[in-house]
Parts: sequence; structure tokens; C-alpha cells
Amino acid sequence: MAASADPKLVVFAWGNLSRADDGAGPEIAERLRALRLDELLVIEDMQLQIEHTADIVPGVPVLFIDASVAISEGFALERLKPQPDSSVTTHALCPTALLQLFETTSRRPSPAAFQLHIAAQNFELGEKPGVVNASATEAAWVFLADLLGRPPGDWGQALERSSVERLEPMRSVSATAI
Amino acid sequence: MNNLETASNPENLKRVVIEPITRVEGHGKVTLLTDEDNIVQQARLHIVEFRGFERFIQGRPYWDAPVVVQRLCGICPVSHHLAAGKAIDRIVGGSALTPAARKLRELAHYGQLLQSHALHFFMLCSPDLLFGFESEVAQRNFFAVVDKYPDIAIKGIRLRKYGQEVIAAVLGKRVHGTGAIPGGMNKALEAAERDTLITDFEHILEWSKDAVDLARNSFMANLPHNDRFGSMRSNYLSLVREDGALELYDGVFRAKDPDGNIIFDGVSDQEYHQHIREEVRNWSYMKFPYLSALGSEAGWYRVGPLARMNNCDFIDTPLAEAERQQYAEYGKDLPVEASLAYHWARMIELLHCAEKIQQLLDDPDILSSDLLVKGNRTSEGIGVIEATRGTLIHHYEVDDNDLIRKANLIVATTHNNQAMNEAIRQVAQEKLNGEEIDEPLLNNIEVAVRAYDPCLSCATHAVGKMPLRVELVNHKGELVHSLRRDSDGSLS
Repeated sequence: MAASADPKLVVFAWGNLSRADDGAGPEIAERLRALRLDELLVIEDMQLQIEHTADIVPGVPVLFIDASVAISEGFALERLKPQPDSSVTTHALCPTALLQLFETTSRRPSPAAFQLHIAAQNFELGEKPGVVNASATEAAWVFLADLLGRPPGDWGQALERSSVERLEPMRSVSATAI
Repeated sequence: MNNLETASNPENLKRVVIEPITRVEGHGKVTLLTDEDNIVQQARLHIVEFRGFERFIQGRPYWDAPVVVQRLCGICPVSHHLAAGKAIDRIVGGSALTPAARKLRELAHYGQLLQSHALHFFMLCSPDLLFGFESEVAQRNFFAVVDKYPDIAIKGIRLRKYGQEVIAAVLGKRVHGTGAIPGGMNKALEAAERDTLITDFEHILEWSKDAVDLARNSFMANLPHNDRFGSMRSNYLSLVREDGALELYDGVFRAKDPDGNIIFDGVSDQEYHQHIREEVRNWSYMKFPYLSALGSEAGWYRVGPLARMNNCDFIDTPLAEAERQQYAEYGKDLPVEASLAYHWARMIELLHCAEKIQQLLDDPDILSSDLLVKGNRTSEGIGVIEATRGTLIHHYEVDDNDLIRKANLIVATTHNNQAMNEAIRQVAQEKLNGEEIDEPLLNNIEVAVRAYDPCLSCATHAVGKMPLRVELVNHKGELVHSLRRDSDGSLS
């Protein structure tokens, strides 16, 4: 975790590097940490979990990054809103449920939040990322590098402009579309 | 052993299957065989877990093991990291760590136990304890706890987060850190990191005490039910310190029988294979370990917080020791048999870990940069640790090219395999004797399994909403009755 006293963006990235495409989130997290940006708080984990609500900073935009089967190639940036959980199958949470939990426990409104979906197809133990996922990860990284090259105070607005309200399942979204 | 594991005439029984229908890290299903009078005659917990991981490690350089094994699990990666680290220490002849390295590993270990115990108790179990085992499924989840008991929920979140911060300070990251290396540690703790962890520590200690109170009072509030629920006579296995104290990082094996008599004591962890055997049964992917001196029928045992509390003579931190004495008094100085007492024992350990973290942060050695030792290279390494759920054994053999030739991992869920089957049978006998299977009854089975905090608790609890499919199938394979519960709690 990169420490930041006054972050302008909180990033949660998760996944398992030993499970093929599932490692996209940690891969991006590693690259973000290497940038050593004081305004960026990067939190990597294997799963998004309940205590991560305590990492959300009121008023600071949040970006969730995960491998995703919701798109078939490339990446997509989705605008998120807090929602009561309806799909919990383990102690791990979906991002919208975490935002809801933040509002409940802090009694403050959720900050602007976005999810960067990176196309993934294979989650087998011990396998390397596939071609589609590797390409999607690189495209996502180009997008992030462009974003983070802007003044930190603009990151939230840039994410807002680039995001879509709702993903269509299996719809392809390329880097150029964003 | 209960006589329901294998029915005498299974061909004449109906089969009830309780199976998660979503993909999770490790999942299980429960099969109940009932006779024509709908009396449970057979109960089995099937667990699919860690298949292939030992093979996955083979062929990798030995120094890679502590890093790679963390990817077994998102909840206890540090336990696997440290157990593998201890095993690899042996291979480089570096098991006698420097004081700083040993204390840093202990600090990470206590942080791991603290966060994992908090996760299990507050987020997975507290809905059962606060709302009741048979309360409405819509209510029985952590979000309902947040709504109705926000103070309890927030304490749980903050305890968990603190444990993660301890881990991050020692290992660099909350998960998949790289602190333990052959013969020591690769990073000293900075004074600033220590000072950050010390800040507000009093709250951590206070919340840990509150957690013990909640666990103890919940258990005592519903006696004799809680004492009887999933209760059984068993043997107990754990590490203890050589003087008999509770020991979680490095100790000697002690085993007790159901009456508290010593079966063996002071056994080196390097000799585990002389005292523990594993039996394969044709209906389960998981092996069934047993104490070789007693044989497979009588030698099964329990591990984890209950076993550790039953086995140790004392705890070397004052607050946890005071709580242990109350626990021992309840058991009349005999092993406590109740499965639900796992929660009580678990929270005593949580308090102990908080006290240990405080001690270590106050110890000047913790900032030392003297972190590595070396010795004579060997080809075999065994590392044993008391992980969150119980005794964790990593055993590696390495070839002349430094590649792992063979790996054997015995995890706590495996040790407790027989015990969880027994607990299910106890509950099933009492609760599932009807033709109609309803959701509150299913949750009683889940509560019994959940007490052991197995890796499949991810699946069996689902933060209160476990997706299930229940089928009654007669001996001809005909579907008699089915019940499906979706992840939103709806039944169909």
C-alpha cells in the first residue's frame, strides 16, 4: 500500500496473480505503486473486503480495478453508485456494496466512484494471462497513464467524463471508445 | 465416533444434498441420507479444497515457496507464508533466527490471527449470534449487524483493518508480501511504522476485550443448548510452548484425549509424520488425519482455537490468561467439548494477539536490522505453525538444483475434517428429521460447520446468504423434493 496523507484518488485493485487473467488488478497496482505519486493511494488485495470501507476517504474519488468477464475485450470504465448488496457469495464484496457500507458506517455520502473492468476469460490456477487479457491490461494502463499525467485535482473530473453509467454484459469497449 | 458416517444399508436411504451453486475458493456440500421414516442415517461433509496446489509448487525454486503459497487463500496468506518460510529456513540451515527476525515474523503472525479472527467472528458469525440461528435469512448478514448493532460492526471492521496494517508494516503489503526469506526477513521495521501502529493501540485492546465479552456472553446466554450443539468427545492436537504456554508461532506438539489426559507431549514439529497419519476415504477429496498411536477409528482429533485452549496450561499475557481461566472454569478443567465454544476460544486468542502485538511493538529488538542467518544446506524442510484455523504443516523436499521435488501441506480444515462431519451429524440428528427441508434448519448445519472457521466458510456463510440447492433423492435416484436458495436469500 502506498501511503498518502492527502490523496486525490483512492485505487482498489484486487485479484490473484497465480490465477491467469485474475492477476490484472495486482499487475496494474504494481505499476501504479512504481509511479510513487503522493496524491495516489493504492490498495491491493486478493479480494475486495468489508474492512476496505475504512480506506475510503470522504470526498476523494475512488477507482476500483478488477479483471472482468462483463466485457469480452479491452476495458471499460463504469460509474458506480452505492447499492445494498444482492450478490454476495463470500465475505468478499462487490464495489457498490462497499460504497453502501461506507455510507452506512460513516454516515457520509459516498465519494464519486468508478470501476475499471479489464477483460478476462481464464482464471485457472498456475496459468499465465491470456492474449485478450494481456492486451486489455496494456490498453487500460495507457488510459491510466494518460489520466495520471493530468493535474491530480483533475483526476476525478476526467474519470467522470470517461465513464459510462452501466455496462452492457459482454459488450466490447476498446481504449479508443474511452 | 458417531455411527452415522456410514449407514448399514445405504441402498435403502434417501439422499439430501446441500450444495453451494456458485464458484468460490473452496466449497463444500452436505449429503444427508434419510431412511423411509425420514430419520437421518448418514451425514457427510464433502470438501473440495487445495486440490492441485501441492503439485503446483513442485518444480519451483525453494525460495519461491513462501511467496507462491500465499496465493492459496485471500484470508490466511500470511499463515502459509510463514509456515513455508519456516520450512525453507530448515533447507538453508537457518531455523535459529535472529531475535529481530523471529519477532518480526511473530508480529506479522499475530496481525494475521487478529485480522482473520475478527473477520470470522464479526463478519461471518456475529449475525448468527446476535439474531439467532433460525432468524430470517434477510436479517442474518453483516449488513444487518451494521444497521442494528453499528458499534459492534465498526469495532469488527477496525480490528480487522488494524491486523491488516500490522501485516502491511512487516511484510510490505496486506497480501502477497515478501517478508520471510530463507533464514530470516528481508526488511526491518521502521520506527515510523512502529509508531503508527502504536497510535491508538488502547482502542484495539479495548475492542478485543469487548469481543471476548460478546463471545463469552453469547455462549453462556443460551445454555444448555450451546453446550450441546455440535458437541462431541474428541482428541485435541496443537503446538504448545515447552513450558505448556499457549504458543502460536513455534512450539512442540501436544495431544490430549477427551478426558484431558496427555497422549503425547513435547514432540518436535519435525516429527509430525511419525505421529500423524492421513486416511483416504472414497467419498471425499479431503484426507482424514489421525493420531497414529490410536489408529484411524479412535485417533481423529480437533485443532484450532478450541484445541489450543484445551491443550495449553496457561497464556503468557495477563488479560487473555484471565479469560482463559474463566473458560477453564466453565470446562471444570476438562476439555471443553462444545463446537460453539470455538468462538469463545477464538476471541480469547484475539485478545492474546493484541497483547502480544503491544509487547512486540514495545520491544527494541523489533527495529533491529540484524535479520539473516545461514547454515548447512539440507534437502528437506518442515514448517509447522498454529494458523488461524489450527495447525498448519508445510513439508518440502528439494533436489540438487534447488527445485522443490515434493510438497505436502496439511491445513487446519483437513485436521478438522472428521470433527466437522461429527458436528453435522449431531445437528442433523436433532434438527433434520422431517421430509421438508426448510432454510432455518439448513442454517443450523451451516452454523455447526462455521464454528470451525474452515476455508469453506466463505461458501457456507456468504455473509449470511449462502446460495444452496437442496435435493432429496430416493434410493432409485428419483428426485423427491428440492429446495433452492439464491444469493439474495429467496427460496424457490
